[in-house]
Amino acid sequence: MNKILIQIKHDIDSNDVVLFMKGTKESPMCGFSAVVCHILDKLNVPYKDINVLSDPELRQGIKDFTDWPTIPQLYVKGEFIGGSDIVKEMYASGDLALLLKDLVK
Amino acid sequence: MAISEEKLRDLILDKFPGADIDIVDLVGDRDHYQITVTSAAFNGKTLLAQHKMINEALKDYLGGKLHALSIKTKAK
Repeated sequence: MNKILIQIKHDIDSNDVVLFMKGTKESPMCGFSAVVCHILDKLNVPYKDINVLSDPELRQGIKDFTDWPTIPQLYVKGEFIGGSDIVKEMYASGDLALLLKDLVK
Repeated sequence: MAISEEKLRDLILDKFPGADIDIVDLVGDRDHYQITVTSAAFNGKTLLAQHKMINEALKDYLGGKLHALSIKTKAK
């Protein structure tokens, strides 16, 4: 595995909730990323934000790692949950709150 | 870069014959679409698996020619 994939795996393994996004949680650079930040904030769930725009290798690497073509990507306890559409739908249905209930701060 | 609504519809119908497809051009620039696909192919699949099937159907376009796509899937 190359360096960037090892780094991604490490970040996912060492944080309960990880969001790979464009920009940062303080300053999202894309509407889709901003939506997921907003939802996680609403649910009061702490998360690690990783800005894929900071590194072109990371931006491609996370797509390869997950086998998912777009950003943002949400991971919970090492498992890929989905992109912004899935997160939105799971938030609306209550499934996301259920999934994250033990991780609320 | 952009993709026409007809092309988008064809790509999906190719992989999901008989699907109901609703496409909304969100900005009017043929680059930001919202699609809703209703297909029996989604029956019994998780939401993540359903979206992966759409991603697969559009893999040559997503993230490149197609800048922003919002996806909704429904089983039928």
